[in-house]
Amino acid sequence: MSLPNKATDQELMRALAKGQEEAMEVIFRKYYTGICQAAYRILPDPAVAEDLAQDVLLELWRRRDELHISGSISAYLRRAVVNRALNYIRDQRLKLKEGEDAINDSGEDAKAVALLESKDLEKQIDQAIENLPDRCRLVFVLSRFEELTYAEIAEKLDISVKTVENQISKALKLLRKALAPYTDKNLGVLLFLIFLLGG
Amino acid sequence: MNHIDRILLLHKRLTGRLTDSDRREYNRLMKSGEKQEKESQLISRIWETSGSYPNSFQPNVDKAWLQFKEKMDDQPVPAPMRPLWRRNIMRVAAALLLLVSAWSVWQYTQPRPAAMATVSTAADQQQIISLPDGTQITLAENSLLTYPENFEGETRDVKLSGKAFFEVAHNPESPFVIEASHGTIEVLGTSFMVRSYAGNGEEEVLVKTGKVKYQLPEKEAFILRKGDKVVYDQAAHEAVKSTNASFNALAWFTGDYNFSGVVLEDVLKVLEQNFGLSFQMDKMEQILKCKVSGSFPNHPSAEEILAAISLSFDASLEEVNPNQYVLTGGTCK
Repeated sequence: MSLPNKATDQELMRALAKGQEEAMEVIFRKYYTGICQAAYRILPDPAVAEDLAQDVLLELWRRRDELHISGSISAYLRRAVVNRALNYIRDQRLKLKEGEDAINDSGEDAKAVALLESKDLEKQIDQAIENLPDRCRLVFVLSRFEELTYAEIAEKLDISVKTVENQISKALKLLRKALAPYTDKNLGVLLFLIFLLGG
Repeated sequence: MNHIDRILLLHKRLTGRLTDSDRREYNRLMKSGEKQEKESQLISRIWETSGSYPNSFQPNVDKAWLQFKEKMDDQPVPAPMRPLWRRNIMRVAAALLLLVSAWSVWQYTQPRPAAMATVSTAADQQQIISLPDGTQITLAENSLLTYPENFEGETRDVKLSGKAFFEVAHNPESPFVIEASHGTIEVLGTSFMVRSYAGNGEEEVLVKTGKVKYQLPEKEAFILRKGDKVVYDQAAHEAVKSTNASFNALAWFTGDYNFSGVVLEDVLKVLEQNFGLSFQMDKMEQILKCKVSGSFPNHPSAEEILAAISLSFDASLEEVNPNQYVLTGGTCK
């Protein structure tokens, strides 16, 4: 039996429960990149992220008889890989780099950043997130990508809500600071002109 | 207002979590000057753009699939379909026909209820149920869960008979309510275990994270937090709350056993509950009060744990009946 090109999640799960490998392949190809990236945000090591993603997908295959997914497969997998990545940090007792507490941030704003071209900004922000201290990055990505509340993040990481608030604020400030080189006034004016002409 | 609060306020706005008083504060801030408005725009821009992180990490899906396929093939083949079912096929068909006709009559006479789904487990079986709201429920052996296919209405209602671990997705607007054999459990979003086998005369709620409300009929509600546990005894109609409960009772789900100076009697009780074993406690009094320390992560078998224990106490393990064990000899070390 072959699967229709646009099989729904329910159809895929039914085919999977019957042990159809092709259903597994469809799921794998559809979600692998997304799950890897979700894991990578928590543990920024490509090899570890891929291992965790494959573990979660293998678990889906192994327990296909026991799984009842009423929501979307992608939400299930995403949640599973995030939990697995957080458990990995806990079990390996990975030392989280804390970074310095005080941020030398004048509060002067990167006025021109809003005018930078998207592609460049994307690259800069990727780099800036990568450079955040570990705990700070963790708190930030759980808020940004897993859409957890402060209380939920506190629970997951076993820290206080106050610490979560401090880390969120710290993350945003560090990101803003990392973009400071692009705040040069002249560049700002130039980009502003390009923006006006191009807009 | 200091700087931290201002950035947090912007963050709360971006995540749609401003309270009413936050919103007033935010509006006041935005009116206070161009600088604040610029800052707000900048932080929004950073937040939006960060949504594509990590762009630079693109795994090789083809290569990964080949790797994965090998791992799949290494997995044991699941047990064949129940032949009993096939032997009884005529009886099943007749029963089904009866059910279907009864159901159509009932369907005809009822207002449309939300479609309900039921999952049950046999001995030695677990099932994972992932609900549309993001909640995940792991159903332990010999248990039954009934839940709506889609949550409609003001609360998210499910019914449990048996044992399950709940990881409830946070939603302050729609409390998650579990109707157990004796009491009801209400939560906004958290993780906890409920043990409530019908006819067992006992019910237990153990909270791993967050806050849970446990209500028994004609009793004052319990508010339980992380590490709190309530055990209800139907015969005495009495519920006892304890704090700092051990999470070993969750080991059937987490696969993680941690004993630090726990008396052997309690260790064996944990094994009884999690593995469906029993021990002849009366024949092993000399070591029952000995203290056990050790951790067994990654889903150990009961045999592994028992082997380690008998070794450390110099006792020998004997299976007297199927699933019934006794430790003979030995002394505390």
